Amino acid sequence: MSDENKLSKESAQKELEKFYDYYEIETEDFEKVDGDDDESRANKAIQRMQLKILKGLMKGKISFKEDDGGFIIVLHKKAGDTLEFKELDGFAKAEMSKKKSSDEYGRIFALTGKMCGLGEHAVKKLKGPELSLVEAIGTTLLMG
Amino acid sequence: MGNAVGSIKKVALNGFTFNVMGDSNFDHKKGKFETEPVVHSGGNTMSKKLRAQNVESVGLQCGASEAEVLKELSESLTNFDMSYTNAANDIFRAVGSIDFEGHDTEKGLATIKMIPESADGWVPFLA
Repeated sequence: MSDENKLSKESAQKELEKFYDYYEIETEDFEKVDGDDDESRANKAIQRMQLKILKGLMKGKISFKEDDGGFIIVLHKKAGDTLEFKELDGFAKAEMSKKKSSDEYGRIFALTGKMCGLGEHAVKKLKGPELSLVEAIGTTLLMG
Repeated sequence: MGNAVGSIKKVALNGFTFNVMGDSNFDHKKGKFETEPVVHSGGNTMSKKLRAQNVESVGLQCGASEAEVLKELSESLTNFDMSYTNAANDIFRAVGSIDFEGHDTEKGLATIKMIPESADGWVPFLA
């Protein structure tokens, strides 16, 4: 991973907005975090994911690009290569349906594994911050 | 180093994950060249002919819906991501296409050949 993808906080926030705009995710919907009800807990979790993605953009661990194939999320791995997550589609969601609804991680790995083209095992093989970043993206897409 | 050897665990084609038959033995021609001796009275001259780094005889567990996916992928004019996970949990990736060789409906077995587009063939996916 090189420094060339690093962004200032302002630039990273603009990039993150592009992601939300593309997927029509209304961040205002997740603002209610007071209280201990299910909605507030879910919103807190989503806000943590947002922060994780923002930090990933600032540190240059991920970047976004748009081309003929749609909106692409690029994970810049520590190993030096990249993993590209293509636009979310119905096939990715269908891969997720092969997992039990209680298998939350399995469903996210299946979804993001389809999006990156290399399958869930490739996502499972990721470690530490790279894995949690992909989980944050998968969760945001599912809940957004 | 005690690497495990054995059955291939998973194959992913364009992100679709397939189970692999337990007795499936991937015939992976790793070398870039096919070497053949050209025999002459002074000995042998080695003829090195470039070849694709295919993974052949890939036996996938395959029902009707998986067969449809394989058919579509084999007919795709665009290359796609491919990967396989071996017994030691190492993942190898490539971009390429497949040849859908056959579907044995009695055993639920599909046989494909995975053909990478790059001369470098399959590269390890490093975590």
